[in-house]
Amino acid sequence: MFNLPSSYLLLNALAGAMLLLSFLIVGRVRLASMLTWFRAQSVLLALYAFISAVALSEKQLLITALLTLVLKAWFVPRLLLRTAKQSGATERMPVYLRPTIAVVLAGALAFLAFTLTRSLLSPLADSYLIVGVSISMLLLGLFLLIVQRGMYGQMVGFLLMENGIFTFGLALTGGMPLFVELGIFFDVVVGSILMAALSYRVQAVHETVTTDRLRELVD
Amino acid sequence: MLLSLLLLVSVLAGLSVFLASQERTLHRIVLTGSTLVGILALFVGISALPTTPHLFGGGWWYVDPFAALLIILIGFIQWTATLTSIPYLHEEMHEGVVTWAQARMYYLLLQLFVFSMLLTVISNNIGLMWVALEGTTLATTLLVAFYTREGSLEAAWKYILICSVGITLGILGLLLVVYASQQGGLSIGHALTWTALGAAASTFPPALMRWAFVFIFIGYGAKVGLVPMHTWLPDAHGRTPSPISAMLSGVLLNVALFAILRYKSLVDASLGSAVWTQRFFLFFGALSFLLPIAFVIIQRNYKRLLAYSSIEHMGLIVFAIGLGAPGMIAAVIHIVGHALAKSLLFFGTGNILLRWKSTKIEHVGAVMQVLPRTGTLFLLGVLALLALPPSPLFLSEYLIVSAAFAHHPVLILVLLLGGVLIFGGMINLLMPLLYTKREGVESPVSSEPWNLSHTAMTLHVLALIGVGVFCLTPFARTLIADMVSYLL
Repeated sequence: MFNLPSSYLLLNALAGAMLLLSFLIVGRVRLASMLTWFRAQSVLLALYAFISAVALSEKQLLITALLTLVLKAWFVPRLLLRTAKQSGATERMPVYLRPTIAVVLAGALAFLAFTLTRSLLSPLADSYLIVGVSISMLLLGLFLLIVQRGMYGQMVGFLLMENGIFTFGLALTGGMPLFVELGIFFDVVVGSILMAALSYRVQAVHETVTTDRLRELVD
Repeated sequence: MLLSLLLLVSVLAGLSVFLASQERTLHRIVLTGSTLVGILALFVGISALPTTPHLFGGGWWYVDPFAALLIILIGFIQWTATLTSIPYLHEEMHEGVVTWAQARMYYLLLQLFVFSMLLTVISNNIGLMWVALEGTTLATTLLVAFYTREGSLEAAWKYILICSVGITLGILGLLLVVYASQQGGLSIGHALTWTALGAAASTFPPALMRWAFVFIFIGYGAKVGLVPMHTWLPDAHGRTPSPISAMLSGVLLNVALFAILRYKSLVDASLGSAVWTQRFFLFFGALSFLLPIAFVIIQRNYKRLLAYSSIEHMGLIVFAIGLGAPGMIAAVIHIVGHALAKSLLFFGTGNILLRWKSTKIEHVGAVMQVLPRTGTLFLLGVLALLALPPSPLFLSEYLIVSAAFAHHPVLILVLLLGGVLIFGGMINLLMPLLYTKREGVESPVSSEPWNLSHTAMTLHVLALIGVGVFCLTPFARTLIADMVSYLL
């Protein structure tokens, strides 16, 4: 996809770093440190969009890069931290698994992701590594959604999934038209605000945000 | 032009709530806005119904006859839902359950919900359609959490999380379709449209399109409420204010299904046959029809009962689509019949809930005696939902059974048996609700004045009879057959 060999090397290095950061997110137990690594990952994603913009000479990807930086590295994580603090939620995220076991399982999921990628692309293709990493991010996000008992942890899982999808889109198709990108950003931001608002209300009603207490509606 | 106007009017109808300073003006403004949206939608929909698929608004909007049908349903049901909301919210505000600010928010979100559904249905751009479909989830999340009770928050959390994750998987499918189209020689800027994709779909690599369809079906299927991605649905539809439940169950599920159908025709064109995708529809349709039976029979909450019935009906519709063209004709009729009957019933539950303050079946009794008007209309809705002629559901279910017998005789017998169980279960639960005077249940005796909700329910009964009779005419047969031919 990219003709410049130096940018190609750099992109693969970025992909590796993003995968590493996904593991760090999964292995953390405190919201603040999860979000720190999530921010770092979003910065790398923005950098990736920026390099793609230059390599493909697509100006609109610059806007994508900027929005990623502003919304995902700054606004959304800050919103989550603030709501968590204000509502007085506990710092430690309640999880179903020990962090070490979670990271081992996450490794297995990443392996699965690359197996899937091989059925989609040849391992020799330029974008093989980054597509594999993006699917790993997606699966790890889903994994967090399942193993996290708290609403904030589940939100981080959802955001990690979103980052995976964004990376996937960039790597595979070179980005969507601008108005679609803007629409997707809008949905992600409004979704995050709504989720934060809901968790705030749940904290107010139940005095905890673990979804264990949300067990009323079962047949 | 008219389509863009329709979108604009629905946004303005939502925003105009901020002009109101007291309840009377609020309701007048809301009613005017909703009526305008309804008239425009009916006009646009009916004029596009008997034609070939058309591009509008400089290529931004793409309306085929099935989309036109959905525009009509959205337009009509948002109007009757608004009619029902007016007495419903009036009573809730009178009792102090709902504040003035909440009521305004309610109508704003209602129209934003309508706007995003309309945008989903008419978008020619697949990315814009995705954004709009996620918009329907976002617009309704706060409506699900409208009553700040424990259960409502739980329902809203499940709703936004499962539907957003579903739709995120959907975008993975969307990106794979775009990638496949690039492999087929389309450039991204110009070829993100249904029209361009549809024209070139036979050149897309089948392996990629298969992967794409799996993600689309799972992701958007969660929003249709297909088993096993359905767990959010009974909670969300059960906890929402009743007029909104009516729109969620009656219209939104079909809008999500519409999105899957658009992708289905692309995948079929790429694979060269519909057999592969039909297997998905048959399997998940049958599963979604059969699994809710257990929950219908043991149900103790009448709103959840209706919600499970929606899963089961969507299952039947999806199953019918898996049967190919004859089944799809049945599916179209079933969509209309189910939308009208289910929303009628949810309107009725609003009145019942206001009177008895409980959604538990055991807390309610002798509705016929206490609320004779609601009770009678509710009974007619139940009969229509259980497919008694002249309900359109009778015709559609008859067509499904006869279409399925040729190729899947065993499966359809199992489904028929399931249908009998559901029929019995619904009668067993709802008839006592309507007729039995329960001991220990206070049945306040007072007259029930006619209000707008009864007008709305009556309109639905008339529409059901009208559609049921209309579908028997030869004109309707060619109309629906044409509609289906563009979906294949």
